[in-house]
Amino acid sequence: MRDRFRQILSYAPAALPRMTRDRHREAWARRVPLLRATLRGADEAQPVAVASFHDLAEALADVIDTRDRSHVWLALAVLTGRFPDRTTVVELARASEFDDGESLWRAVAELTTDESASWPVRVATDEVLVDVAHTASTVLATGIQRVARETTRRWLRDHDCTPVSWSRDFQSLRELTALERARIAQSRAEEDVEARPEATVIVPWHATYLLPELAAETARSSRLLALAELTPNRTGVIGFDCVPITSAETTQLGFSGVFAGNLAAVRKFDVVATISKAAGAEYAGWRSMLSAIGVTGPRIEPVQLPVEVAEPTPAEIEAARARFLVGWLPLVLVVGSHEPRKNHLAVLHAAELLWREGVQFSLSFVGGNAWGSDSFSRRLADLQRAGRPVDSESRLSDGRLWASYRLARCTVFPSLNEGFGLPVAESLAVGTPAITSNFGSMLEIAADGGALTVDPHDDHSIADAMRSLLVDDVVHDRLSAEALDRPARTWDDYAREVWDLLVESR
Amino acid sequence: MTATTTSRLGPSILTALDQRLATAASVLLGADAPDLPEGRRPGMASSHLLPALIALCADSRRQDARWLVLTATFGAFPTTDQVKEFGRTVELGPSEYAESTLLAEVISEPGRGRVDLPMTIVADGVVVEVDFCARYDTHTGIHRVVRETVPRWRAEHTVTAVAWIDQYSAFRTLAPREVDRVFSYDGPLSGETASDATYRPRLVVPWRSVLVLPDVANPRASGQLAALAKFSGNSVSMIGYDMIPITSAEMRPLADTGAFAQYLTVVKHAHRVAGISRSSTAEFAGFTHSLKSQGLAGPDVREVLLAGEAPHTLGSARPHGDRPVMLCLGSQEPHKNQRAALHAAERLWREGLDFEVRLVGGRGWSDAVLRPAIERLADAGRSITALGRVSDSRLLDEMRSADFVFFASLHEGYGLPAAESLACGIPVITSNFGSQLEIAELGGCLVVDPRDDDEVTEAIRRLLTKPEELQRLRSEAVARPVRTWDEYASELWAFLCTIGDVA
Repeated sequence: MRDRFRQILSYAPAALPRMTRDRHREAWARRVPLLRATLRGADEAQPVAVASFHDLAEALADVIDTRDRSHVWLALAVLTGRFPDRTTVVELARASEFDDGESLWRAVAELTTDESASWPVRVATDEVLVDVAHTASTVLATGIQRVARETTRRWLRDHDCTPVSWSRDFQSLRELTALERARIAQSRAEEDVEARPEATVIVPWHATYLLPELAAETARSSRLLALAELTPNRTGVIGFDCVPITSAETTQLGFSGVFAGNLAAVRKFDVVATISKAAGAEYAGWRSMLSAIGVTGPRIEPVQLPVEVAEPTPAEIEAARARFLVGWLPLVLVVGSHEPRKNHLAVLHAAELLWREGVQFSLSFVGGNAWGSDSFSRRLADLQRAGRPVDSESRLSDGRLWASYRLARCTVFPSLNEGFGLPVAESLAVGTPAITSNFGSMLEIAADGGALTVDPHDDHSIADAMRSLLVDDVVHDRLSAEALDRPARTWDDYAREVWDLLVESR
Repeated sequence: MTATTTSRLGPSILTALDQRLATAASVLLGADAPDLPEGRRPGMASSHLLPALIALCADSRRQDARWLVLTATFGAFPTTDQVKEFGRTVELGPSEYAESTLLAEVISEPGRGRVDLPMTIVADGVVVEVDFCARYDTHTGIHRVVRETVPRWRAEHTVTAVAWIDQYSAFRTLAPREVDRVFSYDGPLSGETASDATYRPRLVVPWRSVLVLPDVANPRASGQLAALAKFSGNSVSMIGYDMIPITSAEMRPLADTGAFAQYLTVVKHAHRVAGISRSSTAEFAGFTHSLKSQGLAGPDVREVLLAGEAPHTLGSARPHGDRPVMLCLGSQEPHKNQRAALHAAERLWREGLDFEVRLVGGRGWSDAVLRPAIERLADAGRSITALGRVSDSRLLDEMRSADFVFFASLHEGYGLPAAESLACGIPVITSNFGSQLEIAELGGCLVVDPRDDDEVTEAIRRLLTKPEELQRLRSEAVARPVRTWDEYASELWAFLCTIGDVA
């Protein structure tokens, strides 16, 4: 870092090979008109000749205020093709004050690389950009990616907006490749490991930047911080939860740090759409902490996630039946990975208490192993050795999962902290009563009917609710009817409400 | 307990186990404790007491008993997972199974605690964890708070000061030199005193007591402390300093935030937090607010404003030259924001103002931006001196000989350098929010938006060019009410250490 600024301030362009310099100068020559057009209007887009970085001052002096941090950000982003972090912008604006901008133009030369000189650059003004870097890079669908994909797909269908990703190592925003677009649109496409040299860098300016996924990568966070704080762009983000900070004991060591980096950027965002009121309360608590540093923080509004039921095929139902049902035993289903926060050890203990009482049922977990799931695996094996009807399936197709929800007598989801609690909502959506925690987002979902709530810290409270749903048909039928009577909420509803909040509201 | 198990534990360990279980039984079983047979064969007491203790733990409402039995058995406070697992074992298995499982773990996990030490229970008392100040001579912000506060408490109340065993899983008594470091600190200690050689630690276990954490607890102990706060029936009280690694994560190294998040797992189960300022109270209260989403009430967070006495160290003002002196205080790291002061200074030097900038403060985790700026200005012949870390008396000399102090930090739990400068009668430029504003409200300060170079420049220009303004602030500074350590310690005791309303 220290060395970097030394380099910036004492840069000697002659040190570079001639070919490299040529390529960089050509890139600047292409980008200078773009910069002028951005700040002065389209007519200014005349080509210029740039023989060295000194000519940048000549070509841009009348449009770029080198002391203005937003101008410094824009000049660096457009001319180098790489977004700067906050410190770089602030230090260059300060240095430029005393040398009439020479520091900035030197830094442009220093920060332009062969790779970034080769990228086409476009400035997006009055556009809506949707950052789906992670979601577009994978065919996997975790909860967050599913939200990002379902939402972005509808935004692309209903509004004029541009999905974007980042160039290698989060240097700058760029357009998606065809394959990445397909991943968002159809949620399935083959993996690719190709570099994307053809992708155009997009520099937002008086645009709206939307982030419907979690951006926790350190390099991405630091560039987003500069974008949110120093540029005249509007920024909006979907807030999933603050679990890495509020429940670090259930989080993989190290993730809290990168998540706090994300929060540092979100501090300067305009709006956060949280996926539940409970997530909203976590973000609101965090925002009130910001008074300590004289920062107001973003507006925070909950927009609750939807659940759309998918109809399983007869074959999927048959497969789920064959996989999960044990004779005539009622099935208790638990969906979710086995990380400690999901509290699956408590479910195993509650089940064992009931089996010892003589209550008859089978118990199936659907979800992969995760950080900290060793003791769950051990205890599961113990119970299996003891002959209990309990098992675990690590991966299940969506169709079979929906079929399993329908086959189950009830589901159990006594998590210790959730931004939303999707399995509870999914279970209830097909009319299967759910047992879940008596607080937070899970209580919010339960409030619309069909669920029993428990203290997840008390194994006996979980056992009591399971017993009630397993042996008491009156309770079961009442909750089942309540579940079927719940108001429907669609992804269309959700995508529209989030768009209205992040893009339309001021 | 079988003969095989006892033989694998060894007589001295068994004797210690006997002592700890008897101590636990004295508070858990009282008169119901089983009679011990005559004869003192090591392990005999344990074999009689453990079944009765485990029977008590079968009741799922007795989480406190489960916690204490585990503590006594392992010579280590248990974590949440350990309390839960033990409870489930006791609820399901026969008592002998729970016994042998426990003792097998004592053998298989000897590193969990100190199975060789006897233990003392502090019942209905106040236990204060002073581990860092007991072990190390470091004497900066937090350690000063501990060393000014805990001795004042001990002078008026009964308190038991403890450190952690090296495994960071249980409390122990302090060694004599550690007592000195906490209660009569007078600079770094050297050599071992005779009494240290005879020091034999004992484990200390709070029971229906208040545990006070006046320092930021070591993250290694987070799991044990969280479980203590949740299950043991003790009340946990803390001083809340700041949440810089969370609220301003970009200004701290990544590892800080990870460790701090572990510390927060204790905060969320604590009962009382005394924020040292408006800022830290807002941070801890905000964090507490976010806990309702996981069904936790969180601690009762209140502000007990830190003391701001002038340092006691004797000192004399450095001879003052003709040039006015701006003193920048704070360690050299991003959030202290000296860089903004230097930028403003460069502007003002270029305008032709003649003044000197002095910086006091050791190197922090990153001076990547500040250091080159200092060097560049020095190379350009500007009147700038970076003194680095200095002694307390030198710091006082520097303060007293400055015309004004720049301390406009981007994030402070309190801002001790500002308060102390003011207590010496020196005007301060400080930030217009949080604890710095709180300090400024009592007079003697110009407040600025520390992120706005223009505001910072204007404030410095005013104090350099308007002697009447400087004089006005000086009179205000002298007239400020001084908040003493006595007041702070006594208010803190009243909030944190009162027994009887344990949640």
